Amino acid sequence: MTPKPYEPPGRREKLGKKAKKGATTATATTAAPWKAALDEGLKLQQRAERAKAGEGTERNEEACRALLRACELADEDGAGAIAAATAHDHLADSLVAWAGRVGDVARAAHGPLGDPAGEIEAASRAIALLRDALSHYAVAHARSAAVLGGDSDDPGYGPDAPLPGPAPTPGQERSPRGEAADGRDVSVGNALCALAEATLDAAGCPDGADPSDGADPSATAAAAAARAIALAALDRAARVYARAAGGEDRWTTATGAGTPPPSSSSPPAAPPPDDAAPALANLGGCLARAAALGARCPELDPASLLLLARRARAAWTAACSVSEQERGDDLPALLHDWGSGWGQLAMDLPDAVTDALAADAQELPPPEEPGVGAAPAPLPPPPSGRAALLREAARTLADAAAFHRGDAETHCARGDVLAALAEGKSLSPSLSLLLGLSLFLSLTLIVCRLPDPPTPSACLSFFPQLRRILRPPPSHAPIP
Amino acid sequence: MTEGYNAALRVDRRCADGWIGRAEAAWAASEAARAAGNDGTAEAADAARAYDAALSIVEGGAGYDPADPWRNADWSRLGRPRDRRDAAHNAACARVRAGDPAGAAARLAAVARAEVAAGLPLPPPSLVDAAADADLGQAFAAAAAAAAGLSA
Repeated sequence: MTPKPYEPPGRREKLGKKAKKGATTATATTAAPWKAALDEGLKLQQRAERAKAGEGTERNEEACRALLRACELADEDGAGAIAAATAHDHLADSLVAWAGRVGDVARAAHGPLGDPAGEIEAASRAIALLRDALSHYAVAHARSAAVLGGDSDDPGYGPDAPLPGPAPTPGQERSPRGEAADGRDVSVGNALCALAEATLDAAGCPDGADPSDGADPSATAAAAAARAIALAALDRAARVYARAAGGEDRWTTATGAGTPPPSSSSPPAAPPPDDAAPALANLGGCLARAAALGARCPELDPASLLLLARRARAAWTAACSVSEQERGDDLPALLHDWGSGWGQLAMDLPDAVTDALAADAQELPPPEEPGVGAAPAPLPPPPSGRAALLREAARTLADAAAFHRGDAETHCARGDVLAALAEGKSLSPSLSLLLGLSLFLSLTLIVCRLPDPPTPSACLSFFPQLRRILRPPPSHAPIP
Repeated sequence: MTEGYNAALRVDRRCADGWIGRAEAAWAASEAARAAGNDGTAEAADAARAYDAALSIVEGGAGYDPADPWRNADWSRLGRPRDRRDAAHNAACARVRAGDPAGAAARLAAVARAEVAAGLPLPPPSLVDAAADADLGQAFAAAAAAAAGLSA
């Protein structure tokens, strides 16, 4: 079984390329007891994936029990470190799937208003399962590192592991890792992202906002603690994704704390590996989620949020540049996630950050050739940074829709972005003046033709409405 | 405002999320019309129709299985029971603004009947209390009475 990639909010099972498990090929030896148990566990896992909610999570539990037995047998039988690593990898994947299903079943529970208490309980259960999964990933890493000669230190997999060390700089020699280690990095990143979401769910604040809106100090404190834990998990996820994507230093600190923003004096970064698209796509989603969550944290300053959002955009851009559909990369899904995630950021981030991000985009050189999917022509300068980002998101989603016109979900996501754009839209002063004058002249013509024209005072009552139309857009303070 | 949702509905008329998006856009247009001094009833009627279309898809249309809420969770915006309840509430609000409180009551009563028929508890009275609008309050009261009569 291979894990699903991290799914940014609003997207389900769309990132096509799954994490690789190169080590699985080394296990096809004989029908040893551990192998039989592993096959049985994988079969049960496949059945669990097809189960309905009415059947609960029993099949997931059965699959995990069988895979745990396979791990024990592989350890006892001396089947080899690679075999043990494979079994632990599969068990961890299965535990992550179980954790996801626990939450889904609780969310779909019947009841007049669902079952909020059940959802919180399920989130707590999911946290325990995900921590267990992270422990097994750490064991798998240790087993395979013992044989392959890679870095045997804990790479930050365990549930309470310290942050992994800084990634090597472009010119620095890296430890041999192999495909399985990169695939495990992606899986661990997915588990950490799921852990972040489960932590927020368990605190009753899935979007990170204080559910009591400041009315209950204990709820406010619980939400703040959950946000801090979730941000730490997303930080670790970003590091392991970055390592899987080639370990470029510019992506390795998700919160941006203590890391200066990239500057022109930095050495040029090496291009990401060709097969890094899934890790980069997940990295973009992870960083964007951290930025959206950080926007609710008063302790994170706008500069940190800006750094996170810039890194998210850089990761998505890099993912696009290395995506190849022939290799199984799902470019339309990547564009969908980019567009919907960017649109969400445009709505969540403070004005100062959105203005700075919009300024970044204006500094970019124009594309040499038309974008994929017949992107619309450049629009006139937007009235605010937020609107500019929403337009950017809408264009990205239009590109995604151009790839797959039958995908209603992408059209709906674009609808959300366009609706947000329309709701927050304020006319530019020149356009407002033009429209106002046209309206005034039209009304004057109509009024003059009336058989019984209204009094001047009645006409003047129109002006408050006109002033509302002519109101200029608010100005935004720059980032210090 | 509805461009993306219309595109989604052109692809799939049974896209509940598209209908919900269109309903919310129509409701926003109704609010804007009221802010400008109009009554916004036409926009509210559009919103009610769109909400009803979305709910009819997930409540009785193809693919809806009351015994398997897991499958129903595929609709991201109406996947949870509370989402459907909220959409029904919004549909009732839109109907009241459109000048059709009786239709709102019927809409809510239908929801209540479906939940009672599925063996679920009655709608919480807080929903009735929370209806500040007099017409909407009457609609909720009528719906609750209908549900109570059904369960009795």
